[in-house]
Amino acid sequence: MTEYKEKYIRQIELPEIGTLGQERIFNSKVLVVGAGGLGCSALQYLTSMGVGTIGIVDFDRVSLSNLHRQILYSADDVGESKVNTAKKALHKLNPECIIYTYDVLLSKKNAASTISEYDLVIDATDMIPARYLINDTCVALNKPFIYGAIYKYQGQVAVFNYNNGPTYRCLFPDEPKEQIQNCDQRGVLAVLPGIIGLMQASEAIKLITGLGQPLSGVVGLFDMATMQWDRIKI
Amino acid sequence: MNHELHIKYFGQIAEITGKSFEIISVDAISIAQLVNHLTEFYPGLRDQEFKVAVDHQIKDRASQITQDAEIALLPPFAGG
Repeated sequence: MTEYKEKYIRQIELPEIGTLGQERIFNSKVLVVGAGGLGCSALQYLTSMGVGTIGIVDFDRVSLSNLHRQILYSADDVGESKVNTAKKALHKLNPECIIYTYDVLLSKKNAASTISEYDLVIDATDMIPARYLINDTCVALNKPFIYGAIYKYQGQVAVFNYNNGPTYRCLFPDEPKEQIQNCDQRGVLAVLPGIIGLMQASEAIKLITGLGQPLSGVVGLFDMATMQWDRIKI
Repeated sequence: MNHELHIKYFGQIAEITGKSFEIISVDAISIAQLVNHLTEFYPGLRDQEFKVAVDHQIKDRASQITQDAEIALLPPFAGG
């Protein structure tokens, strides 16, 4: 058995994945926008599962208050670039994975050129304007994106713009006029972005391999405090 | 006809109403009328963006609500 096959044998053993599915994972290119709580969680598993090419967009620096939930960073990394620190941690986890970093704010100037290089996007931002930019760019480029967001103990997750399915604007057509509070303003228990980020990573693997039924046309709502899961059709 | 509605509040909406779930009795109404009714009770809802789902399906404000429906008020989330 080759080292490559041995590394992923527990996935390859699954009939719905198999050698072909693992090859699809290896040949896939995933862009993760936001290397915070959602992004760190999704990135770790996408890398360990063997996604061949990963892009990470984040202009932020690691702060002490990030460490409880942004598990790719440690105390020594405070003040360092998130994307560079994440790349180092992920390279250690899986040296085969090619990682491109974008130490910038995703903007109208760079969104299309960045997203066009990838098969799908994971929206792990904590800024509503960035979400609309990702949505509109993915619609223009015909790429699916996997949305995740949290509020205190609840999380939302959905696959948008997949096979002509609904987009984020089908759910919320316009940017809210009022500011919606994020983790920095409302607090967050570290495990929740971990859970939602992993849901995003699993949806990504489903799109890549064709496994199961993607959460397209539906928004999933998870309440960690009650462990309730709701599916709302869009 | 009087309707018994089971209403779920998510995210910031639950903070405004002070609860995540309640059952209310109302006359036969549309979603727009329900939203007006709730806004009278919870004035903080007035400035909030949210979608309304009836029996796990997002509906527009003109839709009528059937008896004993399960309603959900779903705002956008921003945290990541």
